[in-house]
Amino acid sequence: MLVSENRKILIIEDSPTYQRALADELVSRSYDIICANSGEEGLELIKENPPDLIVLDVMLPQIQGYPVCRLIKSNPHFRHIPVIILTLLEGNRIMPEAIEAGADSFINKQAPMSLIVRRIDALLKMSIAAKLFWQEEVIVEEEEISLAGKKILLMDDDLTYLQILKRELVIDGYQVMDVTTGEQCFEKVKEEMPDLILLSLEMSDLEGTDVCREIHKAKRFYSVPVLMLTPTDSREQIIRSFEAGANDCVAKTDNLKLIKLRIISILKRKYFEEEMRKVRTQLSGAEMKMIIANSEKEIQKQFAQQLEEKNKLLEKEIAERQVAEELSRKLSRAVEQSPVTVVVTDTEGRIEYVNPKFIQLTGYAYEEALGQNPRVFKSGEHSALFYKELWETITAGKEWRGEFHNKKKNGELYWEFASISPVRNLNGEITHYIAVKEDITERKRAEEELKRSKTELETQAWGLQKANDSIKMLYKQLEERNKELQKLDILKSEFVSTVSHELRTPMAIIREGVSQVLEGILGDINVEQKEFLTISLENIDRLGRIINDLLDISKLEAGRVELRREWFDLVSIVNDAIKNYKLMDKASAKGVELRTKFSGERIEVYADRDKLIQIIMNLINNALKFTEEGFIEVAVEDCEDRVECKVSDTGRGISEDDLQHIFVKFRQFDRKDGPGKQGTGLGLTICKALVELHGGTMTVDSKAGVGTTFRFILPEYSMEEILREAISSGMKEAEKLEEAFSAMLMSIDSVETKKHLMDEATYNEHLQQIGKIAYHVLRRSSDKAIGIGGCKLLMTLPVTNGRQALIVQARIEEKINEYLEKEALLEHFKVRFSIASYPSDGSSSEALWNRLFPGGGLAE
Amino acid sequence: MNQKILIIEDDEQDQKIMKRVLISSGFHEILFSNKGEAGIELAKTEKPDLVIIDTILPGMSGFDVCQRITDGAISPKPKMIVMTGFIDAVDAVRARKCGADDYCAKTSDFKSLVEAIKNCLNQ
Repeated sequence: MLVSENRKILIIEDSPTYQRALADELVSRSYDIICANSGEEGLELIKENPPDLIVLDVMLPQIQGYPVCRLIKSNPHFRHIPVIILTLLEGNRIMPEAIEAGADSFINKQAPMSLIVRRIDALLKMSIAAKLFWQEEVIVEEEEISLAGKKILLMDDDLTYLQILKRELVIDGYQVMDVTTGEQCFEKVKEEMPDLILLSLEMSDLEGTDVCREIHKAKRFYSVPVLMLTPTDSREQIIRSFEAGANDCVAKTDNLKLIKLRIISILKRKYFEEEMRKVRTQLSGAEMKMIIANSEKEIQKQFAQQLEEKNKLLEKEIAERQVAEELSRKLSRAVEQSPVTVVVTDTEGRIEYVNPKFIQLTGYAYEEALGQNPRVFKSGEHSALFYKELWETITAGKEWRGEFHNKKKNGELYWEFASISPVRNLNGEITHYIAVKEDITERKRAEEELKRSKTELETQAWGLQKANDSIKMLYKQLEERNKELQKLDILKSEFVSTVSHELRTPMAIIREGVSQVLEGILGDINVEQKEFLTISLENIDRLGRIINDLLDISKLEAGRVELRREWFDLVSIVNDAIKNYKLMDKASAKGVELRTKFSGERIEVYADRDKLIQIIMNLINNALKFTEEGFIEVAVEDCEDRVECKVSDTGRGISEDDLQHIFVKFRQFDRKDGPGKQGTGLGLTICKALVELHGGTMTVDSKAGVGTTFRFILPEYSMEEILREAISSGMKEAEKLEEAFSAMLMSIDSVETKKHLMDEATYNEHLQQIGKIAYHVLRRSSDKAIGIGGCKLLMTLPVTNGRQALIVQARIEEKINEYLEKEALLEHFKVRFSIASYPSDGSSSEALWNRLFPGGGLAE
Repeated sequence: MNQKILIIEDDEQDQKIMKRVLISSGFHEILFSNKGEAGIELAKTEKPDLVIIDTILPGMSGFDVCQRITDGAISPKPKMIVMTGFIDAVDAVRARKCGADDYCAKTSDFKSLVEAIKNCLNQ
């Protein structure tokens, strides 16, 4: 039977961790364990169920370890229970307080578990005898235990130490015997039956351990305690001592006082045991048998119970192991199927395991990888320092994390992110290293790619910025130059118009002079003089035309020509022009027929009347100039959305080369044709510009020797479009200038009953006159009037507010009334006005329009 | 501002204007070269602080000159400005990739060049 079998140990310890560790260790050695977390709880447990041994922590909550020990030892019922105090101090320093408190032994808490357990074993062995009687009322009288005179046998071949120790013990009153060899020792034991034997562990002949075993072999001496004197307090020596059956051991290097305290402790124990034995012998044989039987029954019962418990424990353990195995299987699968590589090496870095991912990634077979050092994967890109730091980290027990650029079996490089950490065994020693590595080649590549793209983008952005800056700068320069050019252009135009203007006056004087001489006012002139003066006059006139044309063209080019659009009949304009300028006569004088062709009786256009006359006159004169026979035809055709005007002739035509330059300034052809036929070279240019100003186009068709056709097209607007355009453009201008603007609609109503008194022509004549009167009242060139079907007139008055418009209205009314009164028509015509002003009557052209035309449209 | 500037430019008219403009801007040590190869040779002995390179040169192009200098033809490596009469972002990027520190438009008054030189040499 083991010493530990059925022995109950109480651990009084407040640290659950330590409690658990110690309990586990003791349970594994078949001890029964009871635990208490405090002194009070421990004392309670002792009373309920006295243990065979108590392990007591010195530091406890509330009652400390020493008082608890004292309480136990002062109770006669429990004082026989051995107490081991767990101290916190290093080594085997003397703990007088522990001995004083009655502790049987003490041990450093930090000592290995195995050592603590051995000490427990040793102490229990001494109290085996007492165990059988723990239920008995073994009461030892409270008395001073005298240890004086106790026999101590001392064995050591180191004479000096022997003498020092002996002298000390003698002083303490012990009866001391000393021997220097094992042989002598055996004899002395037989002769003297000592109370305690002190054996030196290391001797020149027999080892202390051998002597101890030999002594304890004999039953007689089994109860004689042995205190082993070890050379040092090394664990190995202590273990050897206990293994040999020593009851306690102490290092020679320890203070003598400690040795003495140990001696006291052992002797006290022996004293109690002897007391017990005395009690036992005093009891009768029958009683003794009964007690033994009882306790054996009790023991058997307890044994069965323990067996059952142990069974349960085993079952539980099996279940736990199954769970653990299952978990281990799962973990192993996880590693096997892991998407990251796992490499396990021994402490030297030799590979012991690699997972399938590793094989897949590196191309090394499992067998190839085994036993290799991971340095075979080195790409050579990392420095020696890099690897040194790695090893320093992991051998120090820390985890290392970092990136490797490694090489596959086929030489291909790859990046991996690795975490390498040490694996420790139960004793905390490093046995393996485990590396978990993730292939980050793709990520690295993506990063590199990203970095490259970023740099590329930055460069591109830089380039764009630079180009942009340069262009901006050039643009600025260009703008400056443009401004200069514009300035020059304006200067040029101004120069031309000033010069032209200035030329007119002296020219008029010259013309007047020449014509007076020519007309003979200043005296008779002969034929020769007359001829010369005639040529002079013609050229003066031509100069006049050139000056006028120059003025026109410079105005057109500077955009200073404004159209005074109005609604009029193009047919009558053409007829009037031909009549007024006696063109028919001019043509017939040349033997050329001048004819007209109109698509309707009236062809209404919305244009600048004077400018249109200028265009038509220019074209007819041009045709007359170059046509010697045949005809000249002026045709006006009203097409749906436009009016087309044509001036055709049967003249000599224009060559194809010249046709391209026909509208270019100062281009003249056939200059040699002599006087009278000379133009300014600006006429056609002006015509084209004027047509374009109207929003139209001008083209020419010609065939040399057959004739020429000039054609211009005027876009046609609906009345409403024209009126709306007039109002909205006026308003826009006003908005821009932040000025007022007024539109005034004049309507002439004829009194129906009187209308039949006059014919249609007279009636229209009057309407026209009334319109003209109104138009002439408008004094500013910016004021405009648009006739609407003869009896209505829309006038737009910029920079005119409602009140000022009323003044204008009054003036018009006055003039019209004057006229009507004169013509005695006051009763026949009624003139009404309506005014819409911006911003007082509305801030949108739509609002103004609605005010003037409440119906929304023009319909009467 | 005792910095030495080498200008690689084949147009003699431009050379004259640049010289005048740079001197009036406080740069006095100005060297000229008509060709890329000759310019690099000159730079090897003269060690200018800044090289201004026209993009279009007879023989080796301005970009090639720039690349040669970047690749270490001249030590220590001078600052470089690529100058061009044809503004183009693609050219600017090309200049940057060849190692130019700046890229600037050649204007009639060379104002932007002076600005670029000042920026380049102050850094």
